[in-house]
Amino acid sequence: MPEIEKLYNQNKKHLIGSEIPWLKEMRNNILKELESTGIPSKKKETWKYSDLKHVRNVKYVFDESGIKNERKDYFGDVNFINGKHISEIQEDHIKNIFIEKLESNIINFEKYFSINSNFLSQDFITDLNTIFLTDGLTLSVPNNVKTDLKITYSNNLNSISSYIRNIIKVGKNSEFQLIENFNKDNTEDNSSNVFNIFWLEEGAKVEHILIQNAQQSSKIAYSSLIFCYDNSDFEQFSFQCGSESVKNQHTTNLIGRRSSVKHYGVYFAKDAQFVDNKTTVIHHEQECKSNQIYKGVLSDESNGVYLSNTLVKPEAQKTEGYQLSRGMLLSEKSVLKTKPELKIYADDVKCSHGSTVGEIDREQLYYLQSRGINKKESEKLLIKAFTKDVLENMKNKESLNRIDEIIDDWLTE
Amino acid sequence: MTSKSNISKVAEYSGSAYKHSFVTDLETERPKKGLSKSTIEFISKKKKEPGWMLEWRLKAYDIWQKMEEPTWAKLEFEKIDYQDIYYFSAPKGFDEKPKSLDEIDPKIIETYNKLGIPLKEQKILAGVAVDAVFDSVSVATTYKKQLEELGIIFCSISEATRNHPELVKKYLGSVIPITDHFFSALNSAVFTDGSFVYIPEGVRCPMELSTYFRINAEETGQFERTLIIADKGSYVSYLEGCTAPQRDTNQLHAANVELIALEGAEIKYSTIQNWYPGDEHGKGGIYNFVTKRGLCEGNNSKISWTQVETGSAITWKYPSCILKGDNSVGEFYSVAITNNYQQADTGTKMIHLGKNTKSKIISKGISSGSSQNTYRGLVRFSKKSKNSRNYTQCDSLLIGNKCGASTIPYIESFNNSSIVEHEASTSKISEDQLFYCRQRGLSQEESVSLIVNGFCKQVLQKLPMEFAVEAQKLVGISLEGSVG
Repeated sequence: MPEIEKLYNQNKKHLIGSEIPWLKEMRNNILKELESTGIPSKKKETWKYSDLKHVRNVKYVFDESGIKNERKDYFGDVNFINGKHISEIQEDHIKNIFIEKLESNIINFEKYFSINSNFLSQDFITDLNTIFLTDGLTLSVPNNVKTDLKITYSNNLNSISSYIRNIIKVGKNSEFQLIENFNKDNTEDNSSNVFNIFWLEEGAKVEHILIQNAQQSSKIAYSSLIFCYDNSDFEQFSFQCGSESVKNQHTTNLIGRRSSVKHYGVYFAKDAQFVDNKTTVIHHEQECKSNQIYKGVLSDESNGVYLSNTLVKPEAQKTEGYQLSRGMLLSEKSVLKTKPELKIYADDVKCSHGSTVGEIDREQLYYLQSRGINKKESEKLLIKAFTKDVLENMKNKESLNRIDEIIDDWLTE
Repeated sequence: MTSKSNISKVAEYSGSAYKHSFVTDLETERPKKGLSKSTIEFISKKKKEPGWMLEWRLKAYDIWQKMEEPTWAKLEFEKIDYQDIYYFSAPKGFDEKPKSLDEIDPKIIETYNKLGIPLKEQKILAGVAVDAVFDSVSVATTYKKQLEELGIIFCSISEATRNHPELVKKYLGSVIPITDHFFSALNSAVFTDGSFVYIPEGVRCPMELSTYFRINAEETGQFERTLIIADKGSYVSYLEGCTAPQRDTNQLHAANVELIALEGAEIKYSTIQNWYPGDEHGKGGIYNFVTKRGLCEGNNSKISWTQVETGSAITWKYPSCILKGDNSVGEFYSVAITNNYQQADTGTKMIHLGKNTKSKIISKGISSGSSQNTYRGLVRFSKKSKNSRNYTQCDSLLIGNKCGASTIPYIESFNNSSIVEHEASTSKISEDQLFYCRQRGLSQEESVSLIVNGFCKQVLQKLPMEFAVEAQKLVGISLEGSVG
């Protein structure tokens, strides 16, 4: 791809790890690959329903002048501004979590980088992340602790592009809550590309909450790649509301016995917004459980896409895998496309998926109205109820309240 | 009840299971191998086609040459050499069509008897009009006279091009345009025979129309083309059955079926596909690339597809409905059974264009041995298809741990007044159900057969009587011995 290659050559010296031979080689290989395959188009199955804004006009705009510590309404333990990590941490750990800059540590992380070429083969979004990496962290939660962490992403300049990668390891039998938040800033035309890799060791439990409530003109691409060892449990809540275009992909590998994963998602979109979610669960081992539940509410001329995937390998007997996708279309011009896929190569499994798309249930609306609640209020009630059964599984009440507020704002706007 | 013994039992059984593995020894007449303009000219000449038909074929051939074979299906097979196939094969001496069954080579009649469709018997007893296609030439068309009285046209497509050119010209390629895709273009260029049905306005076809396709000559591709037109307020039920003899080499079958239902008309199309699936090591077998598409052109029209797919090494088939008329209805009922190294990638497309349109999809996939069974479907509500509904249910059953089952449904909703519901499940035969049946004195085999038949029942009961018995037998045969 000439433009991407040009961008890369122009900015080589700013990029993280530009002197490291293996990373250089990896980047060159990606560029070579892109040159032969070209950038994705609608003809490519994985991009058939996706928003090509993430493909066109790939940017690398890095501006250090804006990176200063501004306190926001919503402020995390760890903050990224304009794609750079703002260090407030004097020690190497907060809340029992060991934190290191990816930059200083990158030399030890070859295997974590080659991971995406093994598990997300030729994925354009994560490939871009590898090429243009602006910053990232390695987080390590030790064994047998219970802790939590908030990460925020914000942009205080216009037209910034950030490429961030975090590598998160959770030790044996630890409980960890990670809350990631994309801030709503008063800036325009920003794009973020975040890629997180999670390792859950034996018995680890993680609740991952992803709140994407960025400003209207922003583009967000978020990828997560999760590995679960024996008896570990990963629970993810993904919430979208507000950005021009979001493309999320979450891939979980259940590589240990009796591990489990839950991908929950709730998305709201209006105007001409585009929300694209994809979840994939790969069952490598026996007796694992997975659940993928997404619900979306679309209004105006917005577009929603939800692709869910369950792959059960021949060794993964006694698997339970469920998927559910429900969409509510509030306007005539809103569009929802879903593709719930099952690929099953083991026989002793219980797998199913369900998918529905429709408008607000007229009977329910009538019921509420007949009890004296006006139409607008009734609709609001029903929309909130629609998403509630997904959100109420969230253990972190602070985040739940925050999401609640965002939904209320969305409904009154 | 170990899975290994299941698999070996399946293998053991299926080796002897293909009842139709005989070759009728007939001299055949065919052009040189390969596809070229002269092959198409040969076919057209042989069929005594008018000039416009040849032109249409050549146009399709030009388009086909520029196309690429699709690769998106979840199928693995060696690349097909399109120049290594005979594109036309007819038993010698068929230039003049026989007027009655007595004039037909007794060997052919015998072949049909082995398949279980005794023409003579059926003519008298079953009340089924059979348009039997032996390789590429329609052998005999029974019951033609009775149908003619009602104004129903039921003949081979080549006959129709000669006798009813206005209908063929108008509708051929109207549902599946020659530019549609690789296999449909190929078929349009070289199609040899198939059925043509026209039901006039307000007529309810009194009997089930049926065609039995059969690939006989070695290394011959069969490219049949079927065109069914149901005029306003008419009804027709059409049956299609397929078998092919056992051969080591792979044979290609690329058919196009077009259905057109005008206002208030209903077409019911049932298929039992039992082409040779290859041996237990995956050698040989039919490559089945079929394009079937129905157009609900008029308001209140209905098209219903029912299929039982047990054969073929590769099945690539998506009978679809375009619901153009308001209040039109599309249905798809399917049972796909794969065994050994069979691969099936099948499903449907329901394209909702008109208001208040309804569609229903029931798909049952059963995989055993080392086979792969994929359901691939699309449901699309366009902007204008207000108040439309779809209900989809795809269930898969896995027998043994070497096979795979995939479900790939595409759901696209472009308007908010329509409702789509989709559900799917994958599981193995429930131990509880097996236990229940065994407890009541049934053997393991009987129990499995009972459970599988129950699993497929929703689809099997949609088949016309004549087929239901055969289908039930086929389901039993395909899976006998696969558990326990």
